[in-house]
Parts: sequence; structure tokens; C-alpha cells
Amino acid sequence: MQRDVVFRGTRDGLLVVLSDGPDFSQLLDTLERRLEETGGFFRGASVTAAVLGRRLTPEQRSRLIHLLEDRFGMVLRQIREGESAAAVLGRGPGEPGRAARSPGGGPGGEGRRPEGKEWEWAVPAPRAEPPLVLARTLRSGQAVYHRGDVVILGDVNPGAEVVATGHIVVMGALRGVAHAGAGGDETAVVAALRLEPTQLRIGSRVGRAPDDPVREAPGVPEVARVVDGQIVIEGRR
Amino acid sequence: MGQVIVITSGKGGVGKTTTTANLGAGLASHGHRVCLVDADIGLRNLDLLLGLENRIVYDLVDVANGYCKYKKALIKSKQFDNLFLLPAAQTKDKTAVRPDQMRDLCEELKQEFDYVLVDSPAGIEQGFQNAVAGAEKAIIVTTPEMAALRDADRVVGLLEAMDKERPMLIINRYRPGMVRKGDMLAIDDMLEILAIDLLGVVPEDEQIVVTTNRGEPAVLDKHSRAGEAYRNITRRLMGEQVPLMNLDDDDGILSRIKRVFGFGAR
Repeated sequence: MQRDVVFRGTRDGLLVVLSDGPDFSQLLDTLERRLEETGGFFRGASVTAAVLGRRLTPEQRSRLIHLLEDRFGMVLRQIREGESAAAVLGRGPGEPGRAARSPGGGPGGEGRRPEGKEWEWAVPAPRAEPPLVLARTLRSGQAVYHRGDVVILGDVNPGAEVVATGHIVVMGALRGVAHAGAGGDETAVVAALRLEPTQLRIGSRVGRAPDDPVREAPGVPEVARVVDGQIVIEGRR
Repeated sequence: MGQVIVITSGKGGVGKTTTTANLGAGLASHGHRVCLVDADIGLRNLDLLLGLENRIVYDLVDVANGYCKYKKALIKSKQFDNLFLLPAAQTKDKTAVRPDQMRDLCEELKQEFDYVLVDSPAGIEQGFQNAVAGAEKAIIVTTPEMAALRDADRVVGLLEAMDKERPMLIINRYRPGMVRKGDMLAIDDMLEILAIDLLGVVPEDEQIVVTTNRGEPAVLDKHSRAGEAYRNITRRLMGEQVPLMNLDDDDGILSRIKRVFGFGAR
């Protein structure tokens, strides 16, 4: 049996494969249902959508974008259209039990071969929401998730968490966990008046406080960013 | 009409029950009518600290579920005629009572008493939800440890979300000697994170174990340092301005001499 919607984790984020079933609306309904079951797990996740065997009309495309981005808060990187299951997944969809085949499917393989053409439709920069400004302190156990930039007018205490697809600015002490560029954007920064986080994440990079607190917070605002694949902290005076 | 104050912490073992017993006895010694409610159903302790364990007939679960009037379940303390305990059930668990039942009960109790102190169980689950349901004020008890501090912060956040009055903080088992050596969190560090009002600091005091086992709250012991701290806290709770007691007294003559001559750290 071929499944209509397949999720696959890849190095570049989540891959969502929609089958070439005849009714696209039905596919979207199935996708919506499956995403609802995850209970917001993929919020902020970077996702590539692959639509097998067809090109989307602009209307279908915008419905897909709306579903993934607006409804479930995912960051859509790319929509791939018109490819075969084999090209996208490296094997026929819905046949996880069988050994993987070479991408061609082999002689006599079922499944339609791509009609030669592969469509890639790049999504413009993630359509972020306006910055979220939060005028309070986040205490242990409290969390903020936002698609876009986040400004906290207060502290982020140990055990609290801020996740944003854009920048994070804390006008106070950041002592909890901050994840900027949560959709994969490694140009995002984390800035705080006192930057003493338990853990910092930018894009897919993770940095943490040293086990031995060698670094006394300098008492000046600081900015953390990714330089050469590493999170570094720069002072500002 | 009285006020309902919940004593809570998130973390276990930081001294919620000891604090409840001592504040209760302290308030009662000033002539207020006080009711202590043990909301730690299934892990009943407050009765022991007051030495009342052998007098329990009815308990909180019986009252909340309407099996008896609350007056039947109340136990008068040994020391004061105006201090009462509403004990927890030991054989049930936290689900035996609902928050709306606690709200009704507290509403009823504060018609009768000046202060209703609710001893919350550890945790943030139903037992906690029950304990805070009927309270308009909260006292957070914490010790100078990272784990206790983080749990306290969590609880403050939960209380804020419930639109309670801004909670007050008691720092328990404080050891100035260790703080000076940098081995323990200092008061200011804790206040910086929690950002709530400090109601008092109770120094570590071995005597507490003795008074606790005897069922006589330390607040009534004129020689106990923890008792002195609780007496001060009691007065602050009643609205008086009382300066923080000198916490440095207890770390020996030698270290004090050292400080005078500028050796030990500050």
C-alpha cells in the first residue's frame, strides 16, 4: 500500500512527501490530520515539501504553504514538485519493509519515472511574524516560542526557554536556554544585558556554559552569534 | 474576615511544614485565631510537629467531601486555645480532594479565623493545585541551593499565572559561614532571580530537629535562633517593620576575630 503522506527526518530538516494520489485536497487533509497528531511538535522546524508526480497550481501551492507555515508554524525551505518517490526518498514510498533500491527503481520497477523534469520552487525568506515583545520575566518552566524575533523586557531565569526563528534580545539577564534561528537561520543572534545562559542554540549549533565557571559575566551587554560554525560571544561597550 | 496564606516551595524537604507550624504558633502567640490546614494528603506531617497525631479523628478529606463539619475535624493545639489544626488524611491521596472543594473550605474557614495557613505538599501537581486554590497570598520557602531555587522560581511563575498576590519569600536553613566561603547561594543572588519580597531568613539550627520531634514549635523557644527568626517573620506577616536579624552570630568567635583583622573573606 502506498501511503499518502510520509514524514522523513533529514540532515536539512523535515521532509514531507505527498503522494501522487489524484485528489490534492484530500492529501492536504491527511497532512493536516497527521500534523495535528504531533501536537505542535514540528513548530519552528525547517521543512521541505515534496509533491510527487505533479506540478502544483499557484492556488494549491499557497494552500500548502498556508498549512505548513501559518497553521503549524513550520519554516518551509523548499517545495519540490513533480519528482518520483524514488528520487525523493531513494525508494518507493510506503514500502519501508523492503530493501532500499537504487534510485532508478530498477528495470520493470512500478512507480512512474519522473518525466525528466524536476521542479524546485524556492520559498522566499521565512514569512516571519512581527517581533514578539514580552514585558515580563520568564521563570523556570515557562517557555516562549515565536516565528520571528523575540524581545524580552525582563529576565530569562534558569529552567526557562525562549525559541525564535529570528533574533532573541533579552533586556535583562539571560540565564535559561535560548534558541535563535530555530528554523535553521544561523545568521540569527542572541543578545542580552547579562548573557549567562545555561545553553545557547543558534540554528543547528549548540553551545553551553563551561562546566567550570571560568568566565565571570563582564557586566556589559553581549551578543552571541555563529562564526565559522561555532557560537561565539562578543562584548559590546 | 481573615486571610488564607499557602506555604509552598515546589521542592520537598525545604521546611514548608516546619514553617507552617512555627508561623501558626507565632501568630497564635500574638492572640490571633489561627487555623493550620495540612494539604499534604497521604504524607501527613503537620500533626507531628504540633504533637497532635494521637487526636486525629476526622480529616481534610472528610470535611472537603462533606462527611463532617469542619469544626468536628479541627484539633486544638496543646499550647494555644486559638490555634487549630485541620489534619490531612494519611490513607488517601491527593486526588481525594478537588480544588473547588478546597476553595469552598478556605472560604468557610476565613469567616472564623484571622489566619488560615495551608501547608502545601511538594510538587506542582494536583496536591499543589489543591493547596493554592483557596489562598489569596503565598509564602515560598526555599533553601540556598540551586535545585530549591529553581523549583521556587517555577512555583512563583505558576502563582503569577493564577493572578495571586505577589508571593513572599522565606529563605530557610541559611548558613552565613558557607555563604562567605562561596559554598552557598547568598541572599542577594536568590532575590535577584526570584524578584519577590523577602519575608525573612531562617538560619540553620540543629535545635529545630529537637523541637520538631518533641512537637513544640521552635518559635516558642526563647533560646532558639531559628525560633527568633520565625518570631520576626511572624511580626512581619502581621505588618510590622522588623529588621533582618544578625545572621553572623553563630559562626564562632574565631572567624569573627579573623574578620576584624581582615582575614576571612569579607
